[in-house]
Amino acid sequence: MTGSRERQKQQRFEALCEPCRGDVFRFVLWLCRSQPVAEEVVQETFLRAWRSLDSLKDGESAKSWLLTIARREHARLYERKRHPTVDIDELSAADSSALAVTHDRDPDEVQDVRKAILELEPEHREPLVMQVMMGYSTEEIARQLGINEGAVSTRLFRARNRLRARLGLGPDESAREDVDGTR
Amino acid sequence: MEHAEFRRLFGANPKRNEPDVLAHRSHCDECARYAADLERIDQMVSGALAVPAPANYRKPWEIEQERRSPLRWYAIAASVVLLLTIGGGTWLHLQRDALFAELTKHANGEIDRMVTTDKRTPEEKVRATVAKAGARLSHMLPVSTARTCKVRGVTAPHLFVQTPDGPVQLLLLTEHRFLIAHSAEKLGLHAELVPVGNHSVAVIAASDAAVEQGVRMVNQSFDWAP
Repeated sequence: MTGSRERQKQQRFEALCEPCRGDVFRFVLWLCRSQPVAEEVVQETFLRAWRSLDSLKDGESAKSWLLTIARREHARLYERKRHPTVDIDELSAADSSALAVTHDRDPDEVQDVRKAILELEPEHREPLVMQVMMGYSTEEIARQLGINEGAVSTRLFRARNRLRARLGLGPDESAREDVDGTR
Repeated sequence: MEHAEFRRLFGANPKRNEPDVLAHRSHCDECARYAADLERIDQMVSGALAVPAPANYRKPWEIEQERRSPLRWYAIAASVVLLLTIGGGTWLHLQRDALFAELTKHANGEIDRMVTTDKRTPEEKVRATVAKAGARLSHMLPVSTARTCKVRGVTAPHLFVQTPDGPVQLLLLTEHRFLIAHSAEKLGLHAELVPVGNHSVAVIAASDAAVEQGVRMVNQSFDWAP
């Protein structure tokens, strides 16, 4: 590749992908629950994205394209390395120092919420992160996860209700529905 | 709208603002409290998820360049060469060790002939014996016994030679070639494999001194063309 073409490609990559790096990192972090693993996954994700940048035709879809690569890369990494399962309490304790709190919220509350999020089932945590943190619509989440919108809504409903119960704000309404078999 | 439906819709997305959803919220205190709980949870979750991206990120083209770097390939090539050298060396050592074991076992089987004696085998017989391996003697050796044996199924002239330090056994090996001499000690016998042209001679004796004499004789007397 000539120097000017390489530079053009770098500029395109910087413009389309770099702004998404924070969101991709946060998404992967809450997916894998480990900062070093998340850093590794993000680095590999961006390397793969760089190699196949030509396949990204629509700049608008850069973030969802990167998330797709990141999810695949995350699965691949676990397949390859078989990371041991991490104990939630240990992880939370480690993260409390590793993950900086960048706002003026009560650090204890942030820590409790993070712990509650980490304790969610991955199938509930993932759509919640996509919706709350990345502002994805139900339709976009469904496309990303390869499930229908109804299933996404159910998972989100359950995720919020489980958090509500774990944070001591109220009962888990989804548990009642599970028992009733409403959904 | 029923309470359960409101909660299910709102639980899936607290930003829903359809008229019937908003109407139910304004008329039902319990559902309004539920909605407020979920909105608060979303705020807390949003705050908790906001983790700054790490600074130790590297541009992908830098990594790509590094992975393509000739230095990296040299390092890989060097590792492969080193691995092959170690692996090859180990394999050769094991092969040699097995050959030494067979040769000393064979020599030990004929230990009765390895005695100091004035008896000499006629020159013609000695020359005819070594000729079976395609070798020639430029100087005659003090041979007490000349036999034709087999080593690994290949004809190997076997000479018992008298030296000032005691008798030595010489086995002419047509199929074994070495760049340098190798020695070993097995079954109480000292042995050395001496390269001669494209072949080799095993010199086996009860002492290192006798082996040294035998090696000297081999180097001075054998003319072994390829």
